[in-house]
Amino acid sequence: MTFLNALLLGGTAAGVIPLAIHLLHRKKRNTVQWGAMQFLLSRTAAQSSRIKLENWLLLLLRISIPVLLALCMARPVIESLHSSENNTPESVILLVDNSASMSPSSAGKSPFLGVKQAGEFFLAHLPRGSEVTILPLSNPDLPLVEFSVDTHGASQFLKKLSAQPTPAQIAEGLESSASLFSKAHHARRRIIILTDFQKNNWSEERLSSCKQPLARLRAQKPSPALTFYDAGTTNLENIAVESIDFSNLPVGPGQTIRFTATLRNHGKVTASEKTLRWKFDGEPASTKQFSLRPDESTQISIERSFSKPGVHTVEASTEGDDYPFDDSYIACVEVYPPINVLLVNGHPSPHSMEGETDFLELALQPKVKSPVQTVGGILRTSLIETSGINAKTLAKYSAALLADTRNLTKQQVQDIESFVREGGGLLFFPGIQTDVDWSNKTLHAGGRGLLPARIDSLQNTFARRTQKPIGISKTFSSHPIAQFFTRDAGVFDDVAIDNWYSLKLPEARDFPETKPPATVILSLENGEPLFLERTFGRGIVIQGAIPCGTSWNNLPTRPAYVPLMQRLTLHACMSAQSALNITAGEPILAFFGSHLSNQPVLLTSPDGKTTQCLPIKDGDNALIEFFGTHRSGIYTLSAPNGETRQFAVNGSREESNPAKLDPTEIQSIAREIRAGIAYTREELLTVVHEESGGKEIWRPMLWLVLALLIGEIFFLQRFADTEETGP
Amino acid sequence: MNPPTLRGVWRSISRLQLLARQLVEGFSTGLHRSPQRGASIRFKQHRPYVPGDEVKRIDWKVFARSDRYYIREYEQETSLKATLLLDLSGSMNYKGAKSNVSKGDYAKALALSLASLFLRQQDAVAMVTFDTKLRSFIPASSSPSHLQVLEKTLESQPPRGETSLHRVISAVMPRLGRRGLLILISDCLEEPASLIKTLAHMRLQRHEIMVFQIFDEDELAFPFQSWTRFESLEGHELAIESDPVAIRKTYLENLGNFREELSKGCAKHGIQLYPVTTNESCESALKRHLSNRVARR
Repeated sequence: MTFLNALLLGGTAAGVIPLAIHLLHRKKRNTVQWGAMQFLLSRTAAQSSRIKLENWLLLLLRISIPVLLALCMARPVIESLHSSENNTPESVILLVDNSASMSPSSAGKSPFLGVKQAGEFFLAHLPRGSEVTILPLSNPDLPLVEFSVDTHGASQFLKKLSAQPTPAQIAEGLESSASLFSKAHHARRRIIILTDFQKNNWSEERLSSCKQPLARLRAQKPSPALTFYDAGTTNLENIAVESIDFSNLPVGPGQTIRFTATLRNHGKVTASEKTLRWKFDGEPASTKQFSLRPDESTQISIERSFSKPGVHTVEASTEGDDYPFDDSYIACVEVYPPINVLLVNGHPSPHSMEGETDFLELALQPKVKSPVQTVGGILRTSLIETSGINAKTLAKYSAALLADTRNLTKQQVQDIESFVREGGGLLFFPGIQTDVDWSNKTLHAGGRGLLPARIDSLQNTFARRTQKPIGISKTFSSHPIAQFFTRDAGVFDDVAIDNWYSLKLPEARDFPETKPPATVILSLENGEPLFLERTFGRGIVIQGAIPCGTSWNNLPTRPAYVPLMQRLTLHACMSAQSALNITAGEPILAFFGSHLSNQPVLLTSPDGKTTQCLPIKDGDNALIEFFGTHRSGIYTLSAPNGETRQFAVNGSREESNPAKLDPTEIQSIAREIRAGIAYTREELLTVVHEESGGKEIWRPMLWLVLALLIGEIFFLQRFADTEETGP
Repeated sequence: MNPPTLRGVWRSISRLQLLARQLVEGFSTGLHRSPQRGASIRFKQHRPYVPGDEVKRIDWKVFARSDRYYIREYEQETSLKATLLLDLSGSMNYKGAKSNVSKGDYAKALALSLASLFLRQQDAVAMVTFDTKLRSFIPASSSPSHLQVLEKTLESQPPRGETSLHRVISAVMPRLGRRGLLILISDCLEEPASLIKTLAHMRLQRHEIMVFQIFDEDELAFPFQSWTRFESLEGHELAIESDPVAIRKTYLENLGNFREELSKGCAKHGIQLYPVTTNESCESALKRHLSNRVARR
């Protein structure tokens, strides 16, 4: 036996009240030294025993009444009893598969329509008093209705439910159901999964993730009955635009970008003379014919340049088919305006290529040649000496690069700190002139300063020149800069570093913040960090262990130098970048300056609906989080200051394959998880009513309470009569 | 409140003596119908003649010597022997919440009152106290100081133990000698049939028997309301726990039956039964019962 309102079982404690009253009266019992015992003996003795028995009986009755009443209110359920009445109210959860594969097609084939009709039919035939929850499997954490007895209203919600470009989250749906059943009010409980049994959603891997929530459901008392409704259709054709790929390197206005669309035929028929249409910023650009055999994929590329900086949209689409959600793919690409970088040469030289920043200046030139893909064209460099650093100069640049600078003045340090805090980038390269003690004290300042790491000591000094120089480790970290080189690890060959500063990261206990104090970008072969990164305010600081010139190492003369320096510089410039291309269901994260705090930002969805989003404080940034990306298309954020951001959301292509489980597979799954299967809506009713999940017994118990109450009155009356008339 | 001592109770009924004086005339003449009247006459004193005195009672010898009329008075010896049978069993210890004295104390006071009355008339009074067995036997005496002896004896004997009236009376019977007046003061809480049988047997010995049956008001009304444990006063570990309201009816029925049986038995054998409650003063009880008795004669 289980209880639907187990909390109310505490009410059984009320049973002690009559007992307490009895004991209290017992304590108050009189004792009389009595002489005329003979008149109390004989019949009165027997009468006393009877009275005692009657009193005990009365006490038992009086204790039973509050206890039974509390038990009634706790709503006991006996699982072994099955309610045979078809009009017993039940608690039903409808798990509606509204994944992309259910979406209605241009040809009018729609499993979703069948699901909705079956759901509405089922709701209309639910016994009176039943309660229903509708969980869309695209987002099972947000029920459409939660245990509502208004089945008509629930039907209307179901009618309005639309398919989403996301996979069906069956395990999550079952998990949510398990949690929701704690709020259910009836002993008869059902979960009805209305789905198309798309192979992709019912893979073995997905099914194994259902085991845990299923076990949770089975452990519940009363446990719900499970029924499948198969709404799947066969022989569906689908050509999907799977992706648009382009270089992830920043480009400037006028620079050419190559976009490649990948297409796949998921159907069983060869698609011939199909057309791929390109659109840039919503304007049709060009079309291309293609043919695809079943299960074959192809790529179609186009090159394009944008004259204006900012976010531009690219869309590739084909003709409509049975699965309309993947007929087009949209992407956002950002075209950057020129980025100004300030190079501070702390150790200039009159000789060519001997100055500390000479190689760096060349590496960041727009037209530099390199075997590796470069960023050329968007970086603009200016060179000054240490004395030229001041707030006014820094304000014109996106990043500053300190190369072997001598000790800076206090004012200069303060100016650089405010520059970085406001979002500027800083690259710090040590050198011969570096004053280790001053740097540690002023720039590192025990972890509170600009530099992420303490400079420990100079390693492999000139005195030990005989030792072999060290190279750069090819075991790359997960940092995006390091990841870039995984494809071209060879560019680090022959890099020889004779001297470097050993960088010591502060102990974690010195940084109570949850963020790691610093991230290693690249390491030396001996495991010591070569480049470290840390955020400071809104900006990024990159600290190197070697100079950026040729002193102590040969990196500037190796092929890795140009792409590495370009990427380090760009990375330092682009603080808190937001991802522009998002899969449906993932959140949009957009960083704005702290000036936006507490000002609502307007988000426009692809369907034209607008939502107000309030920024949350994230360090020195204002962060906008938007989780409702359940529709494919362009989402636009408009800040009160006129600043706009665009984000492209595409449905998951996991849903593109229309292949469905065959009937034997469906039956095997149903057997495994002990579920019934209905193929028509009428069957849905039949299957459901054959199952059951226990019987509530509060009604008979309430009758029993009533009987006990009457019994108590009867007993009292009878005892009173006995007192009056004698036995 | 301290329980009243026997002496206290005795004093409280001293007015009884006054009452006794009024009663003596009618009462004593009734009591002293002795067949041996005038058989033992003893000179007591002379007193001057007053008109109205019988002429035959003038002592002529004294007249001859002194030339004055003197009446010769005689002390008359009584032929009455009253035996007080006083029940001092445990049940006599009962004292109700509304009563001033326990049944035992009341019985003692009543016994002393009666003894006083008898002694005043120069009747001999014997006293037997008992519970299950004989506790004391004070032989008959008509001496005025006999009252002190009785009082002292009673003071030293608190009520305790069970009652066994018929056994005690059977045991004491041979010592009672010739016929006389037997006054039983008891609550008579035992089997009425056997009690009647014993008393009837004594009646056959030509004893005159008076029974003062002592009740506490509680025993007659059974006024208890709340759940009560009744523990026996008679020593044995007997107890009944019950709702008195629920058993009152049966109790009163049992009591009524008992009293009726006793009353009928007594009437059948010419035994005078006087029920007395402890909240009635001894004097009013005696006045009520004895004047009735006089009236009956």
